[in-house]
Amino acid sequence: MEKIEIVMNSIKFPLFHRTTQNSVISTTLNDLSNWSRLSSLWPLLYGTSCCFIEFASLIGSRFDFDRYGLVPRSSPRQADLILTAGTVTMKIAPSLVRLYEHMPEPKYVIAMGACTITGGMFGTDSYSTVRGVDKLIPVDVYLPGCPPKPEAIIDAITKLRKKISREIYPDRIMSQRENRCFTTNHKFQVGHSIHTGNYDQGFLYQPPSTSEIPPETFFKYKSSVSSHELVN
Amino acid sequence: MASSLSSMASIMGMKPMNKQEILISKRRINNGFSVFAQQVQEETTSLQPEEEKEAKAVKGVTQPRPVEPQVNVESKNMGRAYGGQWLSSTTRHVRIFAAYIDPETCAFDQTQMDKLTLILDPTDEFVWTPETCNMVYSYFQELVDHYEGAPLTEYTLRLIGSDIEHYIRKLLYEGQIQYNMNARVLNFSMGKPRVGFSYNEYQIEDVNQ
Repeated sequence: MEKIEIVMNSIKFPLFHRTTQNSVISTTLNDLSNWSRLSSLWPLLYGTSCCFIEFASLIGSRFDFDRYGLVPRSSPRQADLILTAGTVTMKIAPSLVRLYEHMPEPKYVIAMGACTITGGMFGTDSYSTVRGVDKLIPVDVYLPGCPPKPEAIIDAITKLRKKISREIYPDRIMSQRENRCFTTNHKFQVGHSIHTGNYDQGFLYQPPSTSEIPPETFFKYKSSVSSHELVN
Repeated sequence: MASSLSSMASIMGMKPMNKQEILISKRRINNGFSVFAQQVQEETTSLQPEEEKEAKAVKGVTQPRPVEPQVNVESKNMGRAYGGQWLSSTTRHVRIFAAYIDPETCAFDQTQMDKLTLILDPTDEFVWTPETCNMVYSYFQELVDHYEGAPLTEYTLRLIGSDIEHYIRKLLYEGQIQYNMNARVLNFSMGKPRVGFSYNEYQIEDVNQ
C-alpha cells in the first residue's frame, strides 16, 4: 500500500543566471570586500532586558570586543549589526523593525538569547511577547542562552564573520528587491487624538469613552472572519 | 510609455492582468539574465498551457479592486490635530501603513488618511508571483472592507496584519508559495519544510501479516 507523501512548506530556487567569472581578480576583490566588512562590524547599542548586561560586559576590558573591530554605535544609520539583546514585546516590535529599516545595507542580525529565538521563558503563557524576533526581521545567526555568556556572544560573532566571508558580491547586488506595494481605501473612523500637545486642558478635558463603538459590534467583526479558513 | 506603465501597474497588482502582460512580465524577468533566444521560445510555448491551467485554478479568488496611480505625490506627515501619529503594523512579511505610498518613488503621504497601504514581504523570504500577490491583496481588501466602522488605531491594523500573516502561512502549507532559497538568510520563519501526511490515509500495518 503506497503512502502518499505530501511535502509541506516547500522551497524553491528562483531562476538566477549567474554571470560570475571566477577569475583571480574578481575573487580577490570579493574576498577583500568581505574581509573589510567582517573585520569592522559595528553593532548598534541596543538592549531591552537582561541580555544587554552580557552584551555590555563585552564592551569592558575583560571580554573586549573592540579587538574584533566592533565599536558600539548609538545611531542605526552608522551601525551594520544589530544584536537583539533582550525580550521583544509587541510594544517594542514596531520600533525594532523601524531601527532595522534605518540601518543601511549590508546589515546583519544576531538573535541573542532564548527570548529572541523562540520567546524563551515567555513562550508558553505570555500575552505580549513576540515569539522569536525572526517574525519581525531576518536573522543571520541564532545565539542560544539565557543569557548567553560573553564568550558565547563572541562565538556568535565569529560565526557571523565566517558567514560574511562566504558571501558572493554579485549575488548581493543582483537580488533587486521589487516593491510589492498595494493601496486600498478604508472606511475606518478617523478620530482626533487627545495628545495635541496642549497642557492647559484643565476644565475642557473630557476623558474619552473607553470605546467609540459598542463592544458587541466590534467583536462581531472578529468572529465573522471565518476561522475555518485560517490555519489552526 | 503608456503600455509599460500599464503593464507595470498590472504587475503591481493594481489591475487584472491579461495573458499578454503575463507573458511580457515573465519575458522581462528572463531577459535581465541574458537567456538565449531558443530558450525564450521554448519557455513561451510551454508557458501558455500552464497559464490556462493556472487561470482556471485561481478562478475562485476575486481580483483586487484597481486603484488609480497618483502623480506628484510628496511625503507629508499626518496633521497635528490627529496627533501626528504614525499608524502601522509591521511584521516580517506584512507592513501596513495608514498612508498612501507611491509604488515607484516610495513617497509617503500620510495626509491621505482614507488609504491603507500594504507592503508585502520586503525581505523576500518567499517567491512571489503576480497571482499569489493578487491573492494576498484581495484578502487584504476583504479584511479592510470587513472592519468597516472600526476606529483607525494601531490595534485594528495589527489585527488585519495578523490575519494576513495567518493567510500567508496557509498559502505556504498548501504549497502555493515557496521559500526563496536565494535569500540572504534562510530562516524558515513559518516552519521548516517537512513531509506531511493526513491521518485518514495512514494505515498501521499489522506485524503478523
